[in-house]
Amino acid sequence: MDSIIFGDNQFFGVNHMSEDKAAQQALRFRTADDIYSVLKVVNNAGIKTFMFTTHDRLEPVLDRIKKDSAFQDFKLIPCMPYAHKYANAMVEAGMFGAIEKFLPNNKMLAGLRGLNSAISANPVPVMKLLIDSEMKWLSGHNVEAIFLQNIATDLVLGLGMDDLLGEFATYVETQYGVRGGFITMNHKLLHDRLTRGVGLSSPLICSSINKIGFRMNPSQEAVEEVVQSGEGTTVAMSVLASGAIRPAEGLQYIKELGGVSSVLFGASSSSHIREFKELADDILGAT
Amino acid sequence: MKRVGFIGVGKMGISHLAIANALPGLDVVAISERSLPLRRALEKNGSFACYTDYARMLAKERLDGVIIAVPNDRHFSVVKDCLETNVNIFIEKPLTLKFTESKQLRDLADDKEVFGQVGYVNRFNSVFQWLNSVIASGKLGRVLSYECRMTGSVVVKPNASGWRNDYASGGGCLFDYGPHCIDLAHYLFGAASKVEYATRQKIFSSNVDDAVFAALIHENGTLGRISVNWSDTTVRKATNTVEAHFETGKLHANKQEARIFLNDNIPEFGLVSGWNVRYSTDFDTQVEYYLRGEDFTRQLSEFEAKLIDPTAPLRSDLRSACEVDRVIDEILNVSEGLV
Repeated sequence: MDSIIFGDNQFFGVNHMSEDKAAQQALRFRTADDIYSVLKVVNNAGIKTFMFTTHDRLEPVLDRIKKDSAFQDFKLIPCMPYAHKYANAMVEAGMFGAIEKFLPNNKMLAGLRGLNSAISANPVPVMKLLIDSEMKWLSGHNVEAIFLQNIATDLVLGLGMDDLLGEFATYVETQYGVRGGFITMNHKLLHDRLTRGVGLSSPLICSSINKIGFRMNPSQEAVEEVVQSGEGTTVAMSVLASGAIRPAEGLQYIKELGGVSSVLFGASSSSHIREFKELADDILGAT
Repeated sequence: MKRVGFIGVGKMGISHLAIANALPGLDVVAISERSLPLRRALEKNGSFACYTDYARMLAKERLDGVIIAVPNDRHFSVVKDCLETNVNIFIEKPLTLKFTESKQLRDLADDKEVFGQVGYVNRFNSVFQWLNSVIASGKLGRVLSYECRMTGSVVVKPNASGWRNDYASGGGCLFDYGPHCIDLAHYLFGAASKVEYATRQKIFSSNVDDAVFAALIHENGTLGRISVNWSDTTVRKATNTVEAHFETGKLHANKQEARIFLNDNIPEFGLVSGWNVRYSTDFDTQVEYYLRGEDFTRQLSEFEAKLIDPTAPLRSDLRSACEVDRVIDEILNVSEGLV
């Protein structure tokens, strides 16, 4: 995986530090064009991987990328599920209605209709169908890995249903030939469970890793130790802790820490994107 | 480890369950849930004893504490049954839908010598906690006035059905956002003594309010304004904001940041005259296990600590929750129907 990966939080008004800032960002990205033009800057700056939530609003953007030859070597890392999409559908149509909405006319599902409890007793088949439905609109793209969103990873982890995480990784690898990864806010706990319980020897994990220990649970030291062990592939996010850390300082910490394969970052302005890429090449070494 | 049971594992319950299950001092042994698919999912894939009827769970399992996340209109009866079996409880907000019932539960817990914590999660936000101690120090002088707002996008199109549209089921923005907003005001500025004015407005709901405004008076003369609106499509998720004027300063805050203007330095808090800003990243952000925000974990960590050591403090107990329900009762009385 590339050492620098571009993220999507800024496109959807997510900012962990400031609600005002989040609102300003939401104003900036009203249309697919607004997002597409930023991704063009990203691509031109030599950042060749985009990691994003499978948000409906990105569909037209990614369609344009597919048709644009300048993006030939551009890679995508989808993160699923986009929780709001399912949560909203569940509120409106119930669990079954929601699943049907995303898997219309599915024969297997039709067979299971009325057997709610069969689905909940073994959620794996439905999980696989939902992954397939999310991947459908990404066909023809160069997909590098598929991540499970932290809300899903951490919920399953907390409930102690760790085997489901193993099922996810295995399915993604066998069905799509790419690595299945996990976003988490509990890097240490997840790593320990995946390597010891589930039996994934080198898990792909994306978590907050930064100089001030922001969202490094249960402690900065514990996460640092796992990352440094090199037992697995680590994607660092929140490297700048939503703006609390200056870019050079944040990247220097990553370099000195060691064990991080890729840094995920987001920015809205062209100058910030270019500056960050140059700084990263400088500090982490050119890609 | 303290043995804990769950009653209700719907949307809020499932998230509390994951957190409690990951906390080192809690052993989640049993769950009671009426919905078959949910119960089956946990029974087949988890390691919990599962019940349909919580009374059976209370009778069969030896529990130190119960975490309750059932629909609002069942709070009173479920909490009462738990307290009567001498078990400590954590209950989602609001405590109940009637002040008289909340008082009854508070007194029952006292009689039984058990404790109750109510899910006022704002009290576990690091920015609000810091503001609480700055205000309590008295260095800003008396609070002259404040405004607490909570907005979000829960009901954003015409709605004439479901529990959200029914006061008796705990629907309406007053019972959904009102408790959080009023409790935050109480946490920062002390309990209000009287509701001076209130209006409940309909936007999309046919039978309940979607927005509520209330003016509160405190004993020391502080004037508070409460403003809640669950039909605000401009925000991605529920947002709390606080503004306050003091004798010697002013503040604007939300869960992520606080801005304080001061006439003079307050060295013990590292504050200088003029504008100061603190972000949530300035405070300790690490928790044992994270699911939906640090605040939710800290909240249950306090329940865990209180089960282990009965002398440990409780930031959100039945007493403070009763004060919220008193104000809600008054808002219902003072406002003249829905407008």
